[in-house]
Amino acid sequence: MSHELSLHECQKKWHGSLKSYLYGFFGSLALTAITFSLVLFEGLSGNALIYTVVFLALMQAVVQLVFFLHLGREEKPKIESMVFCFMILILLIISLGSLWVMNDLNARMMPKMEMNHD
Amino acid sequence: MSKRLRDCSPLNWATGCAKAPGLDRSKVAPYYNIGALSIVQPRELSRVPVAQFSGEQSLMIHHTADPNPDLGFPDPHQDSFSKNVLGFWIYLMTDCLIFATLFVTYAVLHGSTFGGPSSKDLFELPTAFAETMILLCSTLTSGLAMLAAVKSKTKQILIWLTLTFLLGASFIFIELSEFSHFIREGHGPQKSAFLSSFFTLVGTHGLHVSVGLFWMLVITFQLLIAGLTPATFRRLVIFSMFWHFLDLVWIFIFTFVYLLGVA
Repeated sequence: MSHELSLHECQKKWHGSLKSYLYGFFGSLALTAITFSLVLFEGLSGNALIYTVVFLALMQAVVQLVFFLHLGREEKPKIESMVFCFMILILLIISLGSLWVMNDLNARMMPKMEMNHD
Repeated sequence: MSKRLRDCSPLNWATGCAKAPGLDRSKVAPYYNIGALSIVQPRELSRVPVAQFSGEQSLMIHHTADPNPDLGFPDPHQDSFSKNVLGFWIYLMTDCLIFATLFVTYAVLHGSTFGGPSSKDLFELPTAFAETMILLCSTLTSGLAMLAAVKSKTKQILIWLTLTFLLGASFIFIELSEFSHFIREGHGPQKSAFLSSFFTLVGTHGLHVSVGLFWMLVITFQLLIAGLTPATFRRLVIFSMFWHFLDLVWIFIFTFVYLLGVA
């Protein structure tokens, strides 16, 4: 049964606060600054750089999900979090599966057939 | 579980049986639940006094329609506000999958430059950094607009929304000038598979931001005409979710496309 809430009830249902926005903003700012300076000043190189930068991006994604999108703050049953977890599952299947298949195809290519048109 | 469900549940019936003298409760299970009928295995049933299962009580156990439906069931997703927010959240998750497939396409085609420029030759970090900062600031101002909406301060909402709009518009402006710069140099999307996937990925994000800009205009006019009502508040909440989500996607664009493309 669907019923309209009053403005006040709607406002109460919303989870954000100034504190969480400032945490999210300064957290993202710090993480962005670290990632950009790592690449600009070449603090790391090769695979170590790639892994660190990707890890920092994931950290920032978590910070924004928690402080901006209020993931996991809703009342029980936590349907939004469940939908999110399901999306992550599908996302991992699609992306890792595609990367696996495409890299495998590349590896099986004969050397002369490589798409190199220099 | 709701009260109504609990009343129909065979578990309740089993607990009722356990009160009979000489019956071990744990031995009542297993039982089968066929629709509204719950059937205890005959082995255990024979030990229960017949009176327990005859007449009125047995009828009461097997009824399906609850004469006193529990309308106070505390499901938070029953009002139209929560339903809208949940529905929009599910849309955002599907949008996430679209971006995931575009990211994977980009990752696969990243090296296929067809003799054209690679990501190292094209991308400039200062542009990407400026775009990142602008989008991060705009996500904060949209959040501040929400905080003003919670306090019912319409004027403040409009100020923060205008700021968000200006920041979003400057983001789009920088992105379009970058695109037009690439195309003028002859590095358009038709040049190579790498550039096609780059324009598709970043262009889809830019399209979302443009839709967000148009959406902000609509909400601004609604606020000016109707003021802050449950409907306009709901739209503001949904819009702020959309805007935060776009910033979330941008983290991965600047990491995977720009930073790792240059590194």
